[in-house]
Amino acid sequence: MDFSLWERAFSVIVQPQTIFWLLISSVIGYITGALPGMGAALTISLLIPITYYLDPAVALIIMGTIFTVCVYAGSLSAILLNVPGTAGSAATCMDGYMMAQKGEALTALGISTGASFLGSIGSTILLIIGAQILLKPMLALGPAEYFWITVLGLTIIASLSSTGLVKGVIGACLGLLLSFIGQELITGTYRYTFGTLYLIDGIELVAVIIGFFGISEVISMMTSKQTSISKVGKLSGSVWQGILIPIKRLLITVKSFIIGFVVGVMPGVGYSISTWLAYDEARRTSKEPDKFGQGSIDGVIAPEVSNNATVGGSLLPTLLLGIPGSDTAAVVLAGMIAHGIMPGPQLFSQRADLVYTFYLGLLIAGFLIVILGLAVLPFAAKVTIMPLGVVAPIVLVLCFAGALSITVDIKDTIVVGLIGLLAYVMKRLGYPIVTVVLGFVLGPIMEENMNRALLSVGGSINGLFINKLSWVFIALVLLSLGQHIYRQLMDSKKVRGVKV
Amino acid sequence: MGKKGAQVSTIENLYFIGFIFIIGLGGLIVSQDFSQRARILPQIVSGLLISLAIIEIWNSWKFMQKQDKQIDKNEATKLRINVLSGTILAILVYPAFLYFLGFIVSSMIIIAFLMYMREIRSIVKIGIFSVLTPSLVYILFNTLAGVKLPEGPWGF
Repeated sequence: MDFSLWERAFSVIVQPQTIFWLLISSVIGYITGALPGMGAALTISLLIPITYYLDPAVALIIMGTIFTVCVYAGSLSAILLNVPGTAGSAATCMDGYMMAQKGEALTALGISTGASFLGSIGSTILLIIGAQILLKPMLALGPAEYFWITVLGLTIIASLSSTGLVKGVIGACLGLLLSFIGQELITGTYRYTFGTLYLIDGIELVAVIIGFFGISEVISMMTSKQTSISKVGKLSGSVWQGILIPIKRLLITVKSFIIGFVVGVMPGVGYSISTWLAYDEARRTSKEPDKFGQGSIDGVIAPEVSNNATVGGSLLPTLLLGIPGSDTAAVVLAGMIAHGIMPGPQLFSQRADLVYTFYLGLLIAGFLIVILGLAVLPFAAKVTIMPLGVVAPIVLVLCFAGALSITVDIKDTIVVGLIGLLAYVMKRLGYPIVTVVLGFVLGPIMEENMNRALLSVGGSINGLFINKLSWVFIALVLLSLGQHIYRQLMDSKKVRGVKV
Repeated sequence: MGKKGAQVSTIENLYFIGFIFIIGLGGLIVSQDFSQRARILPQIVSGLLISLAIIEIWNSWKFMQKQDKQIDKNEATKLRINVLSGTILAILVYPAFLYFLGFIVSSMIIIAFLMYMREIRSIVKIGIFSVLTPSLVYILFNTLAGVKLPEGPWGF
């Protein structure tokens, strides 16, 4: 390792201008990450024009900081309001919000802070020292493998449903059908657009997330008999206590970190999947799987470590090959190219100073997560003891503002409202709405990879089964389904046994 | 949830499953017009949705057989039907308000209405939250994120 490069990176970081932008971008990332509908990709893309006037190293630091802090801050609204700020925080809602309802919002926020810090620092270190080893096997995966990975993601989430596999799969299918709306990319066919121009581009992911999580929660809050989100009406625990928990539960942290990083390296997959895979793994190997969905500590650690680990993972193919690992990494890539920084092996040989400055910026952003967390969270957690009559209308306004941030088209707010009503009915009837959202996210990835796999063998269905590696994922899909069916059978036997 | 509550929920579920069945059937019929490659997954998913809807109807039917035939009508009132209707109304008219009145004014009206629905009667509280929240959100989105939220006839 060339230490002179670190020295040069450090000399850039300590410049007053760099420190100023580091702090500003972390605050911007914190706010936009917590706002439903904004997210890192949108924030970075809006800031790229501003960075034109800055040094490329500073521009890279701004993009890296926003990426890191935004992904973390998504958990803030997920835990406090059950509205994930970003898609990577959707899994955090499952247990984070339940903890908030029990009056443990401070601890949950602390766990998310500690977990995000570890995920962020760990993934940056791995990005620096040893990630090249992982890159090769990831590139060996073809479209058929990616297709089966998306199927695996869906079966895992569907089987997480406490109300049964059938309801879980119905939700996933509904999400997939919603994702098919619009123009199909390979053939150009318009699907389910019913002759309207608005539906040609399909439904926006942000609209689906806000509708399913945000609007449905607003209706639940309005009709709830509770007076505040916290059922006990007071806050217990502390942020600092929570920050230390992921360190104490090292095994779950490490497992979730590995899942997050490895999935991050896979181009185009991102934290929408990694967080759920980490969550399921945590639940599967837990001694108390029944506590998941009821406010389990591990249920917050797993997705929060994983989503920040995915940040570093997704930047690896972006920097080394110019292949973005996620949508936000794609925006970072666009920002780099706008500054004349061409990713690839030559970047490491010709402009290594920039790469190391970027690394250092990412490491500092990891520490800023803790600093911001300790400064802001004790006040933010008070939302959970505010009257629901005040919180619910504010969340509704935030949701509609978030929906308008997509294209500033009022039709988006109509879609968000209708999706929200559907989500409320589904929630009331015990359908897991997360499966719908995941089906929607994975639909395009699944279809694109399926088509690519089929085309590679002249359109035959064999394209999905021809590689040996595909069978590993097929086996995992079957294992996941089999495990769930076996568990249900055992449960029903137990019930019958009790009745006898 | 008690036995009677479960019965109400099962009937609601049957309505919903009927809706899902129609969605699946519609998805299957409409997909006939797509090109061959573009209809593979929509047809598989629609078919799966129809099959699962039938399974769920069967499950619900079996469940109902085990329950009492009587339905407790008071169960429905537990939902706080007035608040639910008011909230749904607010969600449906909000886009129209946004179009005609702009973000700030329409949000003020919606916040005040929903707070009133949740039995907050303090004029000061309603006034503070309904004025401050839209103004702050407007500034945040317009200046920080560069998102131009809808403006009413008054220019905000």
